[in-house]
Amino acid sequence: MKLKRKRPSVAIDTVPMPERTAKRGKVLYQRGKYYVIVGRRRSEIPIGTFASRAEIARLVGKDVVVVFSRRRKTEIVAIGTWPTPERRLIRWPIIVCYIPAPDLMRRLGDEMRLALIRNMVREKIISPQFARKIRGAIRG
Amino acid sequence: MQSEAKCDINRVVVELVAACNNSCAHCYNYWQHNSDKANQPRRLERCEVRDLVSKVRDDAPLSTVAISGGEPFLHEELPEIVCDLADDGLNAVVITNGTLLGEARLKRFPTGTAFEVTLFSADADLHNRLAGRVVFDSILDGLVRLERHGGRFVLALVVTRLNAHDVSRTIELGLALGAEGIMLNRVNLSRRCLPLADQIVPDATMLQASLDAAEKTAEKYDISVAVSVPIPPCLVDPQRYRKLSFGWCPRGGSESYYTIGWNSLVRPCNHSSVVLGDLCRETFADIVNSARTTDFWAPEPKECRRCRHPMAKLCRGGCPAAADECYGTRERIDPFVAICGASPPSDSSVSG
Repeated sequence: MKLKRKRPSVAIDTVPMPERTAKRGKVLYQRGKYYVIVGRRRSEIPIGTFASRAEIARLVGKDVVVVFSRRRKTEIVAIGTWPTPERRLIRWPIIVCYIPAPDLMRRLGDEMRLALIRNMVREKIISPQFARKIRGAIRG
Repeated sequence: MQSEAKCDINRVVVELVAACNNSCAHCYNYWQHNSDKANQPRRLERCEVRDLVSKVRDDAPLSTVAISGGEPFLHEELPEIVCDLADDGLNAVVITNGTLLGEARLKRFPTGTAFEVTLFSADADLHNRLAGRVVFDSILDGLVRLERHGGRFVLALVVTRLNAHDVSRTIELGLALGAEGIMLNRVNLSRRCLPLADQIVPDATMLQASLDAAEKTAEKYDISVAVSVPIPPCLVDPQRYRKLSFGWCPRGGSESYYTIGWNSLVRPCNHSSVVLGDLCRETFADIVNSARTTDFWAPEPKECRRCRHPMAKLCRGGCPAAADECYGTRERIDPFVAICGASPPSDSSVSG
């Protein structure tokens, strides 16, 4: 059976999350900006660097799990769809020595990755042919 | 339903196979120099993994299983083993050299499987030299396939004397390929690679320059970098860095990652060859709570007993397993400290 491709949203976290770091929220779109509402707090979701507009747009109106940094309690490190029995939340594991802590997990936004790829081709670190392959993967 | 936990360990490493298709000069795997069990099948079967993990879960609130080796992709049932773990509600992370990320295999993993892939350099020749084989292009191709199949990866960069100057470009290459995390692990010595220490251990100036380069790159892209293998503050002060997160040996605490080898023997971590018990004969809790295990973690290196650094309690001499593997005692400081601190500065200046 071919499994459906699923992209992480915003940033990535992991581990079985204790209640103090993972909360239920809702994504809203208002006047060109995206927000996540947790309880009575509304936080703007930055678009571009770590998450594309399309990724966030897919979450509008849905219940999401919002993961807060364990170091800075107000900083959001990840937003993802609320796990269901059919669709478990993807979680990154913590391992101290050989596997990184979840607070450190982030994927660059597509635009930043594409800019990096252009630089790498210019610096001859990767070939233009390989750059095309990566771009293909980024665009799905 | 899981019974009441008898120990608080929530992650383990399972080594599926004692074999690797790479030949890294700095490899720490103990079985590379221990051939006494060469006649036994050096791999765990899928059902054995299930049984061993279930045995750990009987005693511990296990949440994460790191699948390692050797190279776990040499085990043909790796995807199914990861599926089994996911079905049991466990997080799995596959620690791989990234050379065997083939289309057919990747299709069989659950979507979103986490991989930790090693990349030594953005320079193909340098990577190949450190890996002991020409594999750079196949890793890059594999990482593109990984993304296409919905896999996710963390880049693991092992810093040695040879690649310390290329940290920044390597991190950038990882990010371009879609890495969701960067681990900057300084080389960790073992008995096997100790004779090569002067060639693979960076001096303190190089080490600091590589960390500076990582910090600069992390700032540029607003990411954090995990410096996971401990770097004692007497070598480089971790408090200089805002974007680097330094890890310390958990020394038997709840963050420990006991390692189950291909022979079901439990060791303190993947770096150590010390056997604490056999999971086929004893329970996981009995092994973890045994006097032998307590004794393993107890020693403090004599060089560190008078250390007054504010991080002394965290550090306690770096990696005790490395001291044990190289010197046969945990009463001595991590050999990396002595060699890195003592080795003469390199001729070439190191820059990111």
